[in-house]
Amino acid sequence: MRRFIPVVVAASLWSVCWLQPVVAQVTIDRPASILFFPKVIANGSRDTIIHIANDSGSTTFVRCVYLNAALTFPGLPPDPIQNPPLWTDIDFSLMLTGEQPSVWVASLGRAVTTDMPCNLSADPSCYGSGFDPGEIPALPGGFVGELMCVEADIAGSPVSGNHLLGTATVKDISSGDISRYRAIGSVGNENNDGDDTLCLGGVPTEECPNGPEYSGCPQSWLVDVRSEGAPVAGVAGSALGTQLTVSPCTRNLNTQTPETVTVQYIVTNEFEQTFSAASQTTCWSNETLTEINSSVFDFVVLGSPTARSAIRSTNSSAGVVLLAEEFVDVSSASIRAGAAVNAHADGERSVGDLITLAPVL
Amino acid sequence: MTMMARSQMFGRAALAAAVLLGQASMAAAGTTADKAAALITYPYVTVDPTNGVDTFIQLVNDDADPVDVKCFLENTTERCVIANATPCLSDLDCPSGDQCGFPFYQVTEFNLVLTARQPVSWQASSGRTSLPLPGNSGSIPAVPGVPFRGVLRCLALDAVGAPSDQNVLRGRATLETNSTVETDFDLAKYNAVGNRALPGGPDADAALVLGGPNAEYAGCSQRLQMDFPFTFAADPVRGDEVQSTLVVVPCAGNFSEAEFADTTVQVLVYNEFEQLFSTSFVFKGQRVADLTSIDAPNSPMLSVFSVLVQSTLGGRIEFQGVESGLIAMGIEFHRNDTFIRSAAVDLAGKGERPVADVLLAGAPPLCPATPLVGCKSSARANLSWSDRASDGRDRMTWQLSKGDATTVADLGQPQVDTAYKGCLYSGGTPTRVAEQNIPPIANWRLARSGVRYVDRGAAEDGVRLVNISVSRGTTRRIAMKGVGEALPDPDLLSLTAPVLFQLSNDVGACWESSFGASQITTTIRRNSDVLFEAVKK
Repeated sequence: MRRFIPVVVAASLWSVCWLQPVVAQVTIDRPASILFFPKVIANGSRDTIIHIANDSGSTTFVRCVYLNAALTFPGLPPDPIQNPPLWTDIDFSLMLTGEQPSVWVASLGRAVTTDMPCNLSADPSCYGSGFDPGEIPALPGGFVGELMCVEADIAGSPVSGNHLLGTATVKDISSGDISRYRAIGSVGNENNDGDDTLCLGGVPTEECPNGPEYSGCPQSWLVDVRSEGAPVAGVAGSALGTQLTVSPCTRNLNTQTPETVTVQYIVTNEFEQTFSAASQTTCWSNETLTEINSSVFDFVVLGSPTARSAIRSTNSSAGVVLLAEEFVDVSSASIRAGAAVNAHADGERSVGDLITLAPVL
Repeated sequence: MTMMARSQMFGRAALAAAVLLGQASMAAAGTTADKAAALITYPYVTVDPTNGVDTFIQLVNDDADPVDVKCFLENTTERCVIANATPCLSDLDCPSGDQCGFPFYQVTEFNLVLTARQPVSWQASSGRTSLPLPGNSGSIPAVPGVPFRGVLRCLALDAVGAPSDQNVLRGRATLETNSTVETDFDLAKYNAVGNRALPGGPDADAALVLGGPNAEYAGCSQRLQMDFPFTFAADPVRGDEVQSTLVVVPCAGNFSEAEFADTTVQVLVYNEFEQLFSTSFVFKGQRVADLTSIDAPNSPMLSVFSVLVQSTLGGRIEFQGVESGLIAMGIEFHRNDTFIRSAAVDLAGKGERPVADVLLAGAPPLCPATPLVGCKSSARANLSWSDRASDGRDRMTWQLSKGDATTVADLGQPQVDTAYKGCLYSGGTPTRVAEQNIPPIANWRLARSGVRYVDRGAAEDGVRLVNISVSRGTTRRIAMKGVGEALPDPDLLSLTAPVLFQLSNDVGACWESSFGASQITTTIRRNSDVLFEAVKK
């Protein structure tokens, strides 16, 4: 469902928002006009608490879309052709009042009827209390994928307000373990023509006659990983591992054409030795480093507890959005603890990325 | 008190703070948590063996060339009020009847050389005695005592030890809790916060200017923002009780004096009803604060960070420092009867402070970046400097004879208050490569025809002897000798002619010898990685 609630006249003042200067790459450092939440899970074993906030003093409108990357045939190995991700989208719209934060759980969504203040300590009924930002759909079971939110005007046309901030907390339902990360922001600029083709970085092209409308995806992501299988000092039976979540920056949500990227990994250990690996991602992937390559991230092969990884798309047509989540498994206590962390961005792609939104109905 | 009344109570303060925030500059960059930088700060490093807590630190050189790094480990661990030599994180760390809360601040410096694109890591509790490659140098100290709480800042330097404009450092820290009491393990991870150097920005001195009209580095953010669930709320997934901690450190300070001024932090709090609350607090060095302890330490349920006051799950704070900019990170805790799990989060900023924050990163260089002019020279001189594998075997000797006109007054009164320094420069466009401080008073005495400094321990920059003798209005002879581990280790192989050594004092006199500019009057006999020898005849 796509809708925007009519609002008070004051809301129209939002359009006098100032424009921030063009920032070279996507960032977690400041408010932005497009937010990518690369890892949203609501699959029965983990769930995701989404925080999104309006950084302006005026009402801000937002178009959001969940991208469901669950496999077409769950239980079978992923394959770009035989068993691709579903890549179905679930759209909704938000209206955030001035400076308003809003919170919801991915599996539950957020209904529009519970504005009343809650009044009990440690009461789950506080969930949903607050000014109604609009109905947020509950996700279907088994959801894994991404959430993307785009700042828009009251009619739904994308704008470069740069008022959006977000974080996501992925919670293990069984153990209670939590991982939190910042949404990756693409900062809009004055070139934004308000159509449904969003131009991230690059130079003027036929699709982007004004040039970039938003900051681009980085040339490389830098992830300082802890070697796969390395122990945590002083913790018997512990082993470290990292999941990388990757999705192409370029995506066509109108045609729902899957985008496939080849991702290259250049890994440097403490001894200045360099290793390389490559993998493919269609729409979205969430793999351990060992699944990506069984040797180049391995503690025994690397010989050092950490490594510097430069990760980039080799496709000219698409960069990638990326998130790392580190896990420690303690076999002696059957414990798994995780911590997500945003990667560092390095350089900007010379070729822009295109996001094509489905039209507002 | 009703929620509305409380809201009104905070209204005026909130308005004032809002006006202040509204004046913020929005144009500049502020700090970064996702880009490499020349100055990076890990705002929270902690070791607490009682609770199984340690911090795993990662530091990376992104450059294709080696980089020199100077790090400052700030110890902000409070002491017990009565047993004030005992570090503590809570009253439980103090003897019975004593309380934790005596302020403490200490800085430990260490230097590293990281090779090209090299990642290094260490546990804060143990440090690291060596790094693996021949191109590395330096070691990483363990935290000075436990429990420990503090801050780590690392600065990229150029080849001569001056602050560099190379934005090549990245870091992250993992807070690891291995609770033997609850048989549990927990991880929280954050990125170090960077101040990117402006191209050509840093000068040679140790005063790092962050932001402002004469900025050397990007300034600290005008304000920082954190989204969080209000304390005592139940997380809607499992019903665990949530609580958040804010860690703030100042951008401005003085490492050389181990001194940070009071910083006032103004905080605005928003809930999902568009209501605005405000509070403030003052800290020095570092504050690690459970949010409710900021405004209501004795009645946390009445805090503006409490869900009982705010009545919504989602909250958002914006905050800014008054006297100094801030670097910060957040930690969210979920707890129930059997465990506590946490997640760290990097914070977003907005704008850049219009005024500079100055971070005095150690003592300023002793020697000027360019050599003094008009120094007294001599007909004869020699210089020898060795840098052996074992620093204890390092030696330097500089001797000068038949020098220019000199009076006794030129020597000052080193036995009273006149300081001396030795400075070594390399190349036609001189680069400072070594410096030696020779402080006044101790070890100096008047000699028959001049002054003499003798320190058999060679504690001060390796200087063991300085002997200056004046005769008949000229410099008859100067001899200076250094030895041992404290002697500076210039890169001898990279010394290029002319090599200049200057000895100067703070009454304005200086003596110098230049080697290699003329092959007729001077000879460079040896120029290897372990020995430099030159003579002037």
